[in-house]
Amino acid sequence: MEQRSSTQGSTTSFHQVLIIIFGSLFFAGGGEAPLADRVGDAVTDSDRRAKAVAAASAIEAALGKDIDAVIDWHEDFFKAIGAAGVDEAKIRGKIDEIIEDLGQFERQQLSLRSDLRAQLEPSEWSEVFDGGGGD
Amino acid sequence: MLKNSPEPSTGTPRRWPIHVAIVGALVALACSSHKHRTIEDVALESSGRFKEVLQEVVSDPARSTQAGAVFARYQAQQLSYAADMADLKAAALAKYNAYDTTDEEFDALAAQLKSRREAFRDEISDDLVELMGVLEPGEWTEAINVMLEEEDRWKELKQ
Repeated sequence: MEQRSSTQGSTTSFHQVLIIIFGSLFFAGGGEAPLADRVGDAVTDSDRRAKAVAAASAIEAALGKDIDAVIDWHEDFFKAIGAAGVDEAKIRGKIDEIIEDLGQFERQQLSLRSDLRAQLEPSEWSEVFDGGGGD
Repeated sequence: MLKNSPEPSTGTPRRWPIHVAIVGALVALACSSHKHRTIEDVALESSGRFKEVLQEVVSDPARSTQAGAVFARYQAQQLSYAADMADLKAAALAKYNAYDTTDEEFDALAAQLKSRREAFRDEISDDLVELMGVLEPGEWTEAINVMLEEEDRWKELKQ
């Protein structure tokens, strides 16, 4: 897994901790090609195809939002722990906020996945996520 | 401003050149694949930076050693957490890709993720507080400010 190779056996720092704890699980799955393209190729029915591509595009758009959110949380966290009078309770509270936000992101991702799944037949789904070469 | 070269330390092992070399290698590695940088790549680019900063801002050898000891424990916790999260992420990706994954399976995975994050929160909260106790307020602020300056590196991801 890419995540594994980038987190194991390396020097770690605050940044790496933060990206690990702040990094959510957004991913489009499958191979290198954009998800919307793979979905468009897999679905032959024109009506379902438009809806499926729209659902895939929404997943891809969420990937960008994920990065924005991580950057914002990261900055926010450092400002919080660098503020005067910060104590353990404040640090824990800040991390709790982020854990909750992460959970929300992940629920959103599952909702988007569900939207896409509703538009795809099992064989089409397999073509998109297995036929794309896996991870 | 940070000093360009740390004060010679009389009582602590001089391991910082090794760390700098490791960080340099990681940066070079990350830069070599600039076109495909991920958020994890950026984490690696910044990896070790905080340790480097700590060594630069803490001039007192005894406190520097103390900060290093806290950070070493912190790193061990990070590695353990990173390994667990890699496994959970791999499991999550497999479930995400599988057509027949049920809501209950996703709920169970979410609970595992939350639990591991909270356990890690407990570990690093203690360490952060201990680290703040070792550093003078000005040193802590300086270290944090350097970390905030690193934000530019992260924002490059969006370009």
